[in-house]
Amino acid sequence: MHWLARQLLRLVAVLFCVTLVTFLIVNILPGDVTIVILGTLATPQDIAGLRADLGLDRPMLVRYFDWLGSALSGDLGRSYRNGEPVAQAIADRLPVSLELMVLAQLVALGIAIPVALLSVRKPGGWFDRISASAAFGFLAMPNFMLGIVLIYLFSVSFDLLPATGFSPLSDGLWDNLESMILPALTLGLIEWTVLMRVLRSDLLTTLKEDFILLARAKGLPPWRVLLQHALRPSSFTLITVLGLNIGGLIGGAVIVEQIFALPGVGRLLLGGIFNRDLILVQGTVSFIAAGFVIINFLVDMLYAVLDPRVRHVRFRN
Amino acid sequence: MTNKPLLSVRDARVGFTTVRGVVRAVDGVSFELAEGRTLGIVGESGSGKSVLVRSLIGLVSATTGVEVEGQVVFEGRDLRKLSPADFRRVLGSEIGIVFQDPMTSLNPVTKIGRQIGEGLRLNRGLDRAAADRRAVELLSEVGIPEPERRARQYPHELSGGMRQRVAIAIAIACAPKLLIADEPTTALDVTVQRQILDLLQREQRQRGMAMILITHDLGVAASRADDIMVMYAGRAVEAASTREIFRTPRMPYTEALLRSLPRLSDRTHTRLTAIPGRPPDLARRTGGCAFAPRCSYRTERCDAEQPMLTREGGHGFSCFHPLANGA
Repeated sequence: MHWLARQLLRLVAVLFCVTLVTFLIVNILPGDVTIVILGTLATPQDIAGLRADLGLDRPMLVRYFDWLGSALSGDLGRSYRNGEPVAQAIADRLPVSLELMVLAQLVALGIAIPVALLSVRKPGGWFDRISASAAFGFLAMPNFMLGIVLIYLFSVSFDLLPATGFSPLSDGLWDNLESMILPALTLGLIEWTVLMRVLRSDLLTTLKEDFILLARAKGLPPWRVLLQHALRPSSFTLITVLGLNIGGLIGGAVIVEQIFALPGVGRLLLGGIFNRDLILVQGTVSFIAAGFVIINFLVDMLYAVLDPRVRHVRFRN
Repeated sequence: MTNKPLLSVRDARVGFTTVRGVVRAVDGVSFELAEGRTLGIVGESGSGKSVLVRSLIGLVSATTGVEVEGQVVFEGRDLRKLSPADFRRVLGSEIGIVFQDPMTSLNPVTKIGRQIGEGLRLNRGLDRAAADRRAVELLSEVGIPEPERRARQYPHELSGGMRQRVAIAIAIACAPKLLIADEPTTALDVTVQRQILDLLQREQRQRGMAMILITHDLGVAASRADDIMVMYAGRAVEAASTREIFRTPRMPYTEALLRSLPRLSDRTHTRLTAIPGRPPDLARRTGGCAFAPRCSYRTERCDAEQPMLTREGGHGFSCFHPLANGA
């Protein structure tokens, strides 16, 4: 368990750095929330008064540690603009973003794993070549463009799915899914490409191993050799990339939530930036960063589940 | 050779297409193996011995650019003409194989018991519990202490010698008629080598299996094989009973190999006799004998013509200038 303690300590250090850097960056953003609130005709006295009210006249580091202190107790401050607690604003929108990302990952894995398995059945064969071309095609496509293409196809041409808007789960499962399919596809159709290529290349390496020969010598049919013997030892890079891609996925979600008008964390963040609502931006970015770091921490734990050798090394002491 | 062979191989050829042309890793090898006998296939690295047996049981055809030819008759069935499903059934239930390196031949993320039981469930129709029980029995049979505990462990928790015992347990799990041991001791400690060879021999005798023992170590072949086939550059250059080969080698290559063995009767610090030169490039075959450039009996004919495997009694050799019988 020594290993776990070290990892947790590192997690804390990383989160501290991330929040500090976010604070610094957010504070050098040009523009001022007071102008957004008071309008361009406000007198300098009014602005100075409001700045003092909001506590913006204090030195930056003082404000950071003040913020950090409250953040540790779960209070991310209140929006400068409308006084809404930032934590509450995030909590309200988080389910939408989480659902979007989980669905997008499911789409990506649901395409990547079967395609990779089928590609390595015959490397260089027609399926392998077509899937490689398709992967590079999708990879080269920006997600805002893919989103628009999907809207054009599924909403405008065939009128199958709504182009924008969101129905919460309380409206029924299908209504909810209907509004999520296109956004999830937009993210997933780009995400699967990297996962597929990574898994394919690891599978090819694994398939050269002696234990694959031995599995074949046992008389196992090719698909069982692939699924039972090759897939799991080949999935480590896939898992790593899956964790790292969460970052890209969050970035993509910001855009996709905008395109499909989904009330998620990404839209909240974008609104905060437009309004120079620094405390909201700070809270949201820190929250996203923490999520990213924690997910990658969990990914690291997952290795131990997948590979007994990792378990062996980590928990020997 | 007894009356009916268990395995009969006719004119086996394996070619790999590479950027430098077709590499003939195996070039027209034939042999027979009777039930319960041990055939030692001897040759240096790259002589084609591993590729030969792996191609017989369909384990090299997965990669593209490989061409396998020849006839492989096992128990009267031509293996190369069976449907893939029938072939897998024969392979899984009647042929067992042990690979060279036990560090890589076991699946690192699957428990040992499961790896042994897998073939039993597939080929013998055992359910999971029965296969698990049988796996423990097999582990104790191959001399692994605390088999119940070991069956629940992963390969990395075992030493090299133990892992090779596990590999043997996997190979003999379905009671095969033929066991192929591909350099089974090369990757192991010298002290463990003998134990593994003893284990193989004991299992073979108890079960009446035939065995193909591939090795580059003449000493191993001498003590464990009934018959020996010497391979050089993808061809069988000499084949006879072990006794014959060691007593009266006919092929100069075999003689050179025998001479390069260290002897206990030699004085200390005696230099080992090495064979000069190196094995030929298989992508650039010449018309002549592949061993000619390194051979001390070489004549013009050796460079121009490929000697065929000729038989004198039970002794086959491919050389224009065979060593005198009984020399």
